[in-house]
Amino acid sequence: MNLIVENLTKSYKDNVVLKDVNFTFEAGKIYGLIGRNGAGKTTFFNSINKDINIDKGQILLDDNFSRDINTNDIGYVISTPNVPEFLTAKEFLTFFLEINKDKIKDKKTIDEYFSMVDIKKEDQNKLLKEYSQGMKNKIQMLIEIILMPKVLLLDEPLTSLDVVVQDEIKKLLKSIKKDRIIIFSTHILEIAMDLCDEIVIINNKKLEKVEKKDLDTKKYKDKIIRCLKENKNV
Amino acid sequence: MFNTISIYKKFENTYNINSFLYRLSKTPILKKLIPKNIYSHTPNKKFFSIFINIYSFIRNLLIKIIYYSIIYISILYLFKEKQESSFIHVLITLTILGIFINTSLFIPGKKNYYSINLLGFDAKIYTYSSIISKFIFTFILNIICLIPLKYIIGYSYVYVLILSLFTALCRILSEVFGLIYYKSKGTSLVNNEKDYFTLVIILISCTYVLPYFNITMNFNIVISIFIISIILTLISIGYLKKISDYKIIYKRMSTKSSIGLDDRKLSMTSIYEVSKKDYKIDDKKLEGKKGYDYFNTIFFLRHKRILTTSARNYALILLILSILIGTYICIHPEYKTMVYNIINNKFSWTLIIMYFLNRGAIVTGAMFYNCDRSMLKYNFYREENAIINNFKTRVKTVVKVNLIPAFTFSLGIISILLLTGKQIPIITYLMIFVSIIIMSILFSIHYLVIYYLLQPYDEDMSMKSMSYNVISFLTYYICYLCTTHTFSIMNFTMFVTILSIIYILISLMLVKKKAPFTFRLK
Repeated sequence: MNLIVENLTKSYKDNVVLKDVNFTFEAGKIYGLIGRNGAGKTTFFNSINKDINIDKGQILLDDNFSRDINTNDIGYVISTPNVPEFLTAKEFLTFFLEINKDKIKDKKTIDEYFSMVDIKKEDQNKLLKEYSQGMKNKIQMLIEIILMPKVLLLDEPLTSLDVVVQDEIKKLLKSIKKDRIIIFSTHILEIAMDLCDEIVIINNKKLEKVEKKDLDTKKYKDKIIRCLKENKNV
Repeated sequence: MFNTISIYKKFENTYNINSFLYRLSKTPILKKLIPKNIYSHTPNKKFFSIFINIYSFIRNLLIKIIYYSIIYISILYLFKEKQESSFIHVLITLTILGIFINTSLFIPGKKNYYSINLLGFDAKIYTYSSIISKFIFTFILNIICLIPLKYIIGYSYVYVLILSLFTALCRILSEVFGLIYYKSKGTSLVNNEKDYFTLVIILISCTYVLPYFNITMNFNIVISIFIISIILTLISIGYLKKISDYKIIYKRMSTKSSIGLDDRKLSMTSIYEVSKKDYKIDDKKLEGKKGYDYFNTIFFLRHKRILTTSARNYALILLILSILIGTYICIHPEYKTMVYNIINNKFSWTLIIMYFLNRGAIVTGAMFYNCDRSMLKYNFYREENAIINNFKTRVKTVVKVNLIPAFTFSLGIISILLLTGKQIPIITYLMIFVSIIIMSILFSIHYLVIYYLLQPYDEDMSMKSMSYNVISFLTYYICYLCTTHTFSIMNFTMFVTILSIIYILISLMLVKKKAPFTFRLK
């Protein structure tokens, strides 16, 4: 299965953010999307997720045959989670499981789901309003992972999580990457290099893969930073 | 579909109950009664579920009753001789207006975001079930109001049925109109001020101007409109069935900015938005300003639309009214005694007028939304000295701004009294002036004081604390109570002046003592 982005162009009035982006993402890999502030990472995700109208191009899912991607194929974890504040975490998850019962494969119990993201029993009956940003992030990520979408978009998901949960989420993402495409945007190069199979930078309104070849970690890191700094093609 | 409706109702109920319990848990005294595990305590929730549903139904019914009462009273005053035809005409025209402005489903908001984007309700079924329940609910509320009104106004049962069904059908049409408008313009009509106000003005004119010229709808026209509404509803249902991209529509409607995920405006807080024209500030106005004085000057200059400009507009309206009344009694001296009697007997109304003239609640809202909700995250801003100094600067500015209409108002009343030519002791004039100025200071300080002592908002301003709402209501109620009693000017001005001075002194002391601990983010 491939996610094929063809000639994707998106601008806001005169500001062209993405121009003729062409890229193919392959199943079974985690892609680290890196770009400077304002480079267009969120616009790229929003375009794939159909949250915004694109000016030109198409986004296809090639799974034996090629077709337009639809919203049910995608899970999208946004950087600033917004959850129903006046539900407890347990109520939220209960409603979610009830509504999506026909879509969920490999069902687990509520406690098993909570333990996936390390949410303790005593926190499950707290209102989401009283949750920290990191805890809200975990809840949002949990519901996206439960549905096991074909394409999982993660916009800065680990930044607000503590190191233990970061490590658990990394393991979780690695364990589910088979048969799905995970694209992960981050500002933290170490996380991207540690977790991702491919590093893609968003630069000059386009996506470009940074080839590792036989570079060691330090040289690879320097190369990525150089690419981002110099605004050059890779 | 029924399963979706039932889960959605359960979700909505749980959300409302928790929200209610959360408010209770933040209310002084009552919070002690709320156990910590309340959100997981099912028997309590069942009780609250019944309570919330009854409350919600009664609230909606009351709104409907008020709506019908306003129509009826306006008819009674304007078209007493032709109540039946005017009532039906006004109701039908207002209902048609509702088609364009009453959309509640296809507007940006958290409710749709939570339901479709997060919880994953089937967007098509969600739309259908919401529209059906709105149809049924509207029909029930309207028929409950229209039956008793039949005995007062005298229309037939056929009209009760036709009007109830018509209002309910228009509810469907309003949602479909919202959808069509959003699909063609990418926004809702309410956000398009120009279109919105043009339409409202045209239809409101048709509502009351036509009956004035004896043009009202007869039975045949009513039946024709009813049949047209049925046909349009059938076409709308076909249109709704054809649409396949509901999920995308809701997703785009619930983009980050519209549901307040980032720092851009929430639709409900657009009132606090700073106009782009006010971004640029004349450097001369900042000369010599330092520290919080500098900081607050920038804030107030950027908010002159809701502060200075609005106060000046009020002052201008009061000035024009005073001149009009003054000129009128000069041309028609026979009204002098009547005007004098009104001012003399109803002087206590000045309190509620000053209450409405004061923009305290909006100004403190803007302070929070555009300034304090971010600044209170910094320690230096939460220091005792900073809070008190900031409060002092704000009090001075808000008092100064509100004095503009107060000054005009007091001079207006004094001038009119002088023009009536009645023998009034000079001390009365003095007390009128002093009391109005003191009332203005009172309200200016009052809103700032409760803002600093209760800090009622949560970070995205989605709710206010219950104690703030109670105090706001009490403030209004006290002002209202004064209008129901008759006082002499002297008694009232003395009474208000003394009480206001006592209140101001106590509240300022309270702020000094308590605000450093209470002025925090919730």
